[in-house]
Amino acid sequence: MKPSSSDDGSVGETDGREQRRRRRVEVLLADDHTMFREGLAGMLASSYGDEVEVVGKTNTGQQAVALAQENNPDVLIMQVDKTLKQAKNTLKQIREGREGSSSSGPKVIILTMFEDPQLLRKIMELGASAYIHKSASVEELFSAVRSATLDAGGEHVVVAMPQGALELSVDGSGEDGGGRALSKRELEILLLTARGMRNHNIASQLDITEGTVKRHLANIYPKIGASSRGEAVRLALENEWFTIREIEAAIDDEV
Amino acid sequence: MVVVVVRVLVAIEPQMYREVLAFHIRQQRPRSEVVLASPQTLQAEAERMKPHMIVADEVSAELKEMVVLWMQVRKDDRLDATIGDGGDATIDDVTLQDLLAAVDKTEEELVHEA
Repeated sequence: MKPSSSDDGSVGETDGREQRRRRRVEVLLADDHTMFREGLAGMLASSYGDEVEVVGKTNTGQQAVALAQENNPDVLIMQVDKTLKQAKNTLKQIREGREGSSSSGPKVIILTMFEDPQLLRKIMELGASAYIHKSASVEELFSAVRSATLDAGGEHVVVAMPQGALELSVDGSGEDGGGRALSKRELEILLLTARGMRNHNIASQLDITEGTVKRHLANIYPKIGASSRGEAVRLALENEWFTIREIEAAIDDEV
Repeated sequence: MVVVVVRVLVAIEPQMYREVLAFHIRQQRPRSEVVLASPQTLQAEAERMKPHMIVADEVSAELKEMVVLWMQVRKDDRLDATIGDGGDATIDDVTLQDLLAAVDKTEEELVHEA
């Protein structure tokens, strides 16, 4: 929160109003969804107008950087995309823009719609003051704004996430992208999938039905946050649940 | 002059979106009655309150038949909406103004029917 000032220390009615106005937390909103962005800005101004002032809103990271430099907000509420690339760039530029300045730059509150543990873990590495899932309430978001501005030292992080996603992201199963959440059989099927084997071939190799293979794959995807065979294999390799050598060994076994 | 109260059921996910849209409708169209529901309680709430308009991620054929106007919102890089009131229309990057226009259109229909 920006400091208020008073020339002579007295607070008259007008000065008091001015002081209260100055004490409002200045917020910059960056979110792709126009209807939500505009609505949230209006709701913050109406319902929490005594404490919050929305000084800018945008749907692009680039504009968020420009608005942050121009308005020097106390808090940046920012939505993240799945790759996090844009969010990382935006935060980097904003933080670089503050170098040499007496101000530490805005506290950052990340808004997300994603629930998969691996992504949540990556999101939490962005160094924000709060991570709020959009399934939370606006009241919770406002509480996060308040907490972020009161926590000058940046020692606390507010997290409001769906219970299930949070449990997965902190119990270790999300730590390596979900690999530890997979059973031995599921890893086996994923390894054979990585070889490019079709479901009926996998079924034949493991002496199970094709339906069972499909069921295992359907269980694997949400556990590791994948939406396709290719993505599942990519995650497995990235997180080293198995290696290229193991895939090749499996090929050699069959040959 | 016929005065009608537009009953709007907002069941869009996630909750933050529901709250924001409902707040805006209540604020800008104070004569309307706005109720929130989750997608799981949408059907039951619709049967209870008999809305004139529904805003949701997905509106079933049964519910589409029940209301004057429905707005189905699709979330991707931006929010797009399909509005059904007899003839379907798609709006790219839907705005609050589009939402209020839908409420107004529902009201006009109700006045016309009264």
